[in-house]
Amino acid sequence: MFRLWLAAAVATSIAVGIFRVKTPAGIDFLHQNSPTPKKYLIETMGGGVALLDYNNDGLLDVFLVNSGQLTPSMHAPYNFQRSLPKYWNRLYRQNRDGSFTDVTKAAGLANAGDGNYGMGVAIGDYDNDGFPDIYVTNYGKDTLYHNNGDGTFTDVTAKAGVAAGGWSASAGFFDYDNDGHLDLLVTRYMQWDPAHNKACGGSWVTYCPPGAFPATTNILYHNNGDGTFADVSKASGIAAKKGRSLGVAFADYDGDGYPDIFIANDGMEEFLFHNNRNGTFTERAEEAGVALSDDGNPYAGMGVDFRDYDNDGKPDLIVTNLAKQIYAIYHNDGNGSFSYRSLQTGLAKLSAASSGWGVGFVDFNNDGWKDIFVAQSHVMDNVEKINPSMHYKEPPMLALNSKGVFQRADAGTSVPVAGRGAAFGDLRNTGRMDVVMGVLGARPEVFMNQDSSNHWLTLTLVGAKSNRDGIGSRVVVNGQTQNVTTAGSYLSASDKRVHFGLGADRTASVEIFWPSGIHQVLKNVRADQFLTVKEAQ
Amino acid sequence: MITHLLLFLAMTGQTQTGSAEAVQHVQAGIAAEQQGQHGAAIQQFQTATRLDPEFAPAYVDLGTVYMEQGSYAKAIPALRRAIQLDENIEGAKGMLGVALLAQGYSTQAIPYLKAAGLQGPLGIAQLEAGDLENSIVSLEAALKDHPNDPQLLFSLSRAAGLLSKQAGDALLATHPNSAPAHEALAENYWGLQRAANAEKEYQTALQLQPKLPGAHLAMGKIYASAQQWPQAEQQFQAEAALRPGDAEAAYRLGDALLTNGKIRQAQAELARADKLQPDMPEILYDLGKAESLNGDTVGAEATWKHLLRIEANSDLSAKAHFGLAGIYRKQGKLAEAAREMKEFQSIKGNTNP
Repeated sequence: MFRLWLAAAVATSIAVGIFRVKTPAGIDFLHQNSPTPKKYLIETMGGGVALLDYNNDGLLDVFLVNSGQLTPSMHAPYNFQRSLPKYWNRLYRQNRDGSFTDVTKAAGLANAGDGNYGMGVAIGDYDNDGFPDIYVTNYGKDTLYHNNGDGTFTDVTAKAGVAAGGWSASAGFFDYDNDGHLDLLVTRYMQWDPAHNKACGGSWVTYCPPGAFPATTNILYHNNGDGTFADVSKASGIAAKKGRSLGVAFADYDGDGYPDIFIANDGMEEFLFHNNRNGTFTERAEEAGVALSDDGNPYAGMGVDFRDYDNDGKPDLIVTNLAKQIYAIYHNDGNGSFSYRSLQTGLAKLSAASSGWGVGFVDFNNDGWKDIFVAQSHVMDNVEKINPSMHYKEPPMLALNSKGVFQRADAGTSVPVAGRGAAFGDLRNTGRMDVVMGVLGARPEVFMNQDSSNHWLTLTLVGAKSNRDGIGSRVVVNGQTQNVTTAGSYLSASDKRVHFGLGADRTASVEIFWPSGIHQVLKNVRADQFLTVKEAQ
Repeated sequence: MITHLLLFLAMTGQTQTGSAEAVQHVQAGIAAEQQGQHGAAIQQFQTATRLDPEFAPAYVDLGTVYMEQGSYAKAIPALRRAIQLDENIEGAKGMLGVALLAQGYSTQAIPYLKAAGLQGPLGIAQLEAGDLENSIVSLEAALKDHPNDPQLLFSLSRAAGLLSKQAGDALLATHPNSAPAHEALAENYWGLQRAANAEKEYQTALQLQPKLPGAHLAMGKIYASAQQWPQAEQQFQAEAALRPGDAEAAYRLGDALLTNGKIRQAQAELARADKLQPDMPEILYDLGKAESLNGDTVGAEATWKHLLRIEANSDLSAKAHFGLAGIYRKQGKLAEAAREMKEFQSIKGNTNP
């Protein structure tokens, strides 16, 4: 008896956190943002990450977006030296033993274009060939890399007509018209160029707030289904609103079968574009109650996720922002409107002193409730000098969900870094969700999930009438709801597979609502497996 | 000024009898001064004093022109002489006091300014002489007549600050290890934004005097400003327990409870704060918010409308309109919601870029 008690006491005292922070062998990426005394605004904004299985070997690979070289004196045409290897984006292929190999050059992804200062990445199989394609956002022009299916990519930007231009930030693939072809939404931050940069501050020179620069429009590209896209920003109504946009996430918030768009704006009201089901959108953030904080204040919206955190079947929103603003959680009330719930969910006290970027509602402990991970850091690298109670570098935040209320948990590291992008996925196919966090001007951090307390189920959808990856499908498993997407977070793209923590449940009932309208039901599905589900014909 | 002085003296029968010739030069001096010919005026007044060294008004006039020129050093002997000749001669004491003050002789200036009843300069002279208590009295008296005078406001602020510092220094010198001394140090540190030092001093003060009024409240504010809301709540809780009649402690505690997600407790505490100090917009806004979050939309609507009757055009009233719009929208009262949003936007300004 005494031994049992002792064993229990020891187990309690050595309780371990969910994550072990470890950079797998082979990932030697060092993000280059090139900070200068000029405080170019782009230098503090980059750091995108993607998790994708580019070679369909069943193992997630990692794509990291680099930025480029800046100098105190920049003149058009701008050259960010992206042809130099230290400024390349990098693709790391995962090997069977969990190590990674840099395949950037072999994959044809080496030179991101000297005129492009890198920001983020979106992943989607835009041509339904079964291989994920890569869209990289930049200050300059964006790049679409078509996955050739043989380990290589081809820059098809010009042919596809998706170069955008200006300062692109987060982007995401989704099928807004449910025609089976993934469309592309590209957020753009502002009208800015190095020659017209402004620095702000008094005794300490710092980055200017976004309001110092003109707002700009976001871009919606419609996939024509033949390898080309059409810019429908104006026709769709997306360009009717100018923003200072950084984050984007998609979900069908009103259950009408068509995906809607939430765009996180910095320093102004957020956008919620309702899909009118006829190729157009109407911006409804104000009437839905998601434009501002509960006090009617705009905040520095950066990262966003659009998922159901309280298991009521409707997608909710989380938006990260700066310290003293409180990360915003908007609960979907089910009638086209949302309620600000940062206070009731406990997120206010967890985030009041923090600044966040990449974010995800992800069930890390497989208990059936989606938790929160946030990549954190203030935007100003000298914020401590201006306000000693704030911090530039911060460790990430992990908050575990207990029936809709969040409590801080050990994120696996207390080392402060300048976190930016965050991508979520099951790197080692353990049934547990890991995180890769992009760090500004530093090496990425990989959060390997070592929790093993509950059961799980991970689905890979294969569309037939719907788009190949089933992006936009709504999946309901044992009362939990997930919308299939690679978008969300900040500048990042996550594992396309759909993961569910099942708690103590050893079986699951699965319902899939495909974008095509097909409704598919699977009963008594065994837990703890990766299951591929093809869309019923 | 000179004309007024002579007229006044004539009316009150105080005109000094000088020699006819001296009076003529004084009159010529007045005429020159009125034409802005200060040099000529000075010559005339000097001639008058030479011709009749006992003729006090001539010295006053001479001193006045020097004052107008800003030549305070030259004005002082002329005005002194005038007073010597006639203790009660009008205007001389006030001008002499001002001239002495301008030259830095604040202690010497005080009796003349006091005699002349010039409260503003007197308060400044007392401030410079280190007589802070009387300086504050004089400056407050002067501000009654000139409420927005920047020099008076600055001097009063300086006098109050120095008095505060003086008291603080005395406290630290006489009772360096007392709770009030540590509290004073904490306030100084907090003023310098040195939160860690301030926190440490407050903690020491509370160790020495656990029921020290205001210390928990101050510590709570430090934690709140650093967004450390759980710690802030603890401190406000302690203050509210020590001083249940303190409306600010109740309000701050309610605010912290709200931020920490303890909505029901927040509503109760804010309602208590509202009873302790009714009609405070800050309390009313938070109370309405707590009521709204607790689902008491009727209460929230009444509270925010009450706020709007007290304060129509402020950041808090904008927030109240925004909150009301949210309530009405949820109730399907779209016209009311639109009206509240319009009010909100007209106060806040259009947030569109």
